[in-house]
Amino acid sequence: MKKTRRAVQFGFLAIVVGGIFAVGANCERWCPFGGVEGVYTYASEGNMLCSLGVSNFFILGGVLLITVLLRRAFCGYMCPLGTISEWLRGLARRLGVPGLRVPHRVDRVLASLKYAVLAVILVATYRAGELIFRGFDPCYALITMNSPQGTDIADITVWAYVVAGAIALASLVMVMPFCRWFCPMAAVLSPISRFALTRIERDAEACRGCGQCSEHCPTAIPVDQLQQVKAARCLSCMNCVDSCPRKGKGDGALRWRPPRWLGPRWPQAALIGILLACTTAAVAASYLFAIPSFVKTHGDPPAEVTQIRLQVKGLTCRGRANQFFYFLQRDDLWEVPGYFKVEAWPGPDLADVIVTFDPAATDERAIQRAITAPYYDAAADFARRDSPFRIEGYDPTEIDIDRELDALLQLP
Amino acid sequence: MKPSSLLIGLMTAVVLICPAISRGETAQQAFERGDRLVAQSDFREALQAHAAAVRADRSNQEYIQRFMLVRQIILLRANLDQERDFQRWYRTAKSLRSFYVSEGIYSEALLVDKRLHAKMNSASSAAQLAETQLAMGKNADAAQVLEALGPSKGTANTQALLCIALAKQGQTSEAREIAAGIAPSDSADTGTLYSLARMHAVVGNHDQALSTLTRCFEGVPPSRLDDFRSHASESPEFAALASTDGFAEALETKSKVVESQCSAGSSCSGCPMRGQCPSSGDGR
Repeated sequence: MKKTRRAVQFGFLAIVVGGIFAVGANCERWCPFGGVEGVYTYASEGNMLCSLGVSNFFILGGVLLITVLLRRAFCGYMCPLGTISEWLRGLARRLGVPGLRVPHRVDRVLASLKYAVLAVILVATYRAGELIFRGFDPCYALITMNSPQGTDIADITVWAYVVAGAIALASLVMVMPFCRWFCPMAAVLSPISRFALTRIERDAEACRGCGQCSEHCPTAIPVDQLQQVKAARCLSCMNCVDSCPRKGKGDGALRWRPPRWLGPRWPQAALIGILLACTTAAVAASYLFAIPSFVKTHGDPPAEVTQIRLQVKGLTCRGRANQFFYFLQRDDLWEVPGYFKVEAWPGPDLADVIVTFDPAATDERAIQRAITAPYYDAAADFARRDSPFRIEGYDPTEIDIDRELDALLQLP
Repeated sequence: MKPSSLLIGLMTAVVLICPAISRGETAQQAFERGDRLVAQSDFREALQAHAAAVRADRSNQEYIQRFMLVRQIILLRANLDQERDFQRWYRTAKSLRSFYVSEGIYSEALLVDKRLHAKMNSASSAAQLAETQLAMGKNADAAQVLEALGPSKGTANTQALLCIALAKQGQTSEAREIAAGIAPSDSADTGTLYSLARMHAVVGNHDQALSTLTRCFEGVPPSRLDDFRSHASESPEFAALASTDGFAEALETKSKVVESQCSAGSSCSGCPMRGQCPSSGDGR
């Protein structure tokens, strides 16, 4: 199981690293914690924060389902930060770096800090209306510097590197210190994990009391003193089961099992199957149910509407999506009259956008023109606002200026 | 590849790049030609040049924006004569003026300012017109516009500009007399403070010019500070001070204004920053 877990960890890490460095994908959109941060704004406004997408909710849903079934298996198998942290300690151990044991009481106190971290992040994010802590986030720094909008790294603070360095250093002497004590995602998962369906069970009669299981537990659960491991911090890593010297002799002293109403026992391979099934389902749902992460409407819809689908460069986040909307709403000659609705999927490269409009009031060319042309902002002493957007396939030079002037001169 | 396909491909390429070849122009050259034509107020030709720049390099967002801007200016110019709704006419005029001033096309800005002042006849429209006239060296005209306001409509800003206009005509004693009579109020806006700093500089009150300039910069939002600094370092009114340490120090003044985090959206109701916004509840 240990090797299998390593392989699964490596697989997920490879997907993340490959996504960032090779594909240049918008990895922020696949972070389950993005779903936690974005839930309030989405519920109240119908829009996702910054460059998050509805995919964050699907991934969060998948991770929550995994937690309901397998405790914090997400942390033990999927999270790249957890994997790197655990591997760093493994490497240090091989190099002879002694481990630091934290007394149980201190561990309990430190473990409660993650709830404070979660509360601070959620409140500050809600108040600011954006991902205010991402400048401190080493994952965000890594993703942003290697994404198509990599030049826009002004919001990455030196703290991102301090945090990354601190996690790496601490991981050399302790197993997963950030995951156990400070991770806000762990704070979300832990209360659910406590009531998860599967658990490790210890057969007290078969147990020799050697304590190997507790010794190998990355989250310092005293497995040898429990009949059932119901601890919220259990990662379902199976280190305890693998380390039990009775393993292979009949049933062994420890076994991983589902609730009794789901049968007497499951093979450990079922754990990997559930992980992969939940993740695949979440990713597939993100593509199957293409829900826009930004929706905004202007005016009342008429009886008949038309849609235009655009691929837009420069529409990278919620702020830019708002700006896109303002370019349609612009207060000048090229203002799009009548009703319109913008549904957008902001992205680092090309964003998909659907504009629904009143065909009696405007047309596709007028919409494309409004989006791409600069305007003078009356609200800012007529300062010029250049459009950061470019529409794929739209050639602004294909115009007849005389016809435009004629049309203008016919204005009432 | 078949020879016929290759030939068709080559012919297509020739047809596409033909306009550029005929002029022997790169995208950058077409762009620069367009800007020269804009400076000469030949907007139709400028539009053609900028279109050529876009066609030669479609990936350049600056070229696209410039093309769209010139196209818009042509339409705004036509609309200025057509628009009957005052608010829309005003926005058109102000947009055009903003463009002309930013491009340094003061002859066109002057025409718009005159029309704006004829319709508004206010201290701010007079100040705007006088600023353009001062930039063109029409100091007597500027003084005339500002004097015509009379004491009832005059403001500290218009008085400061009048002082500058008089000083530039050599009427130093009159200018000093006006300067001595103006004291900025505590609530003076940054535009007025900037005019007062220029006024003190032209009449030789260098210490007052620097202290007023410093106070002005402290009140300018951080995002606009560079514009003010750039204007001040190029302004002929500060020429006598430009090489002094005090002026360099004043230019380095940091803004004391906390810039609004308002995203200028259409509604405050969904904004999570609404609790901290000083203008919340204004119905926007």
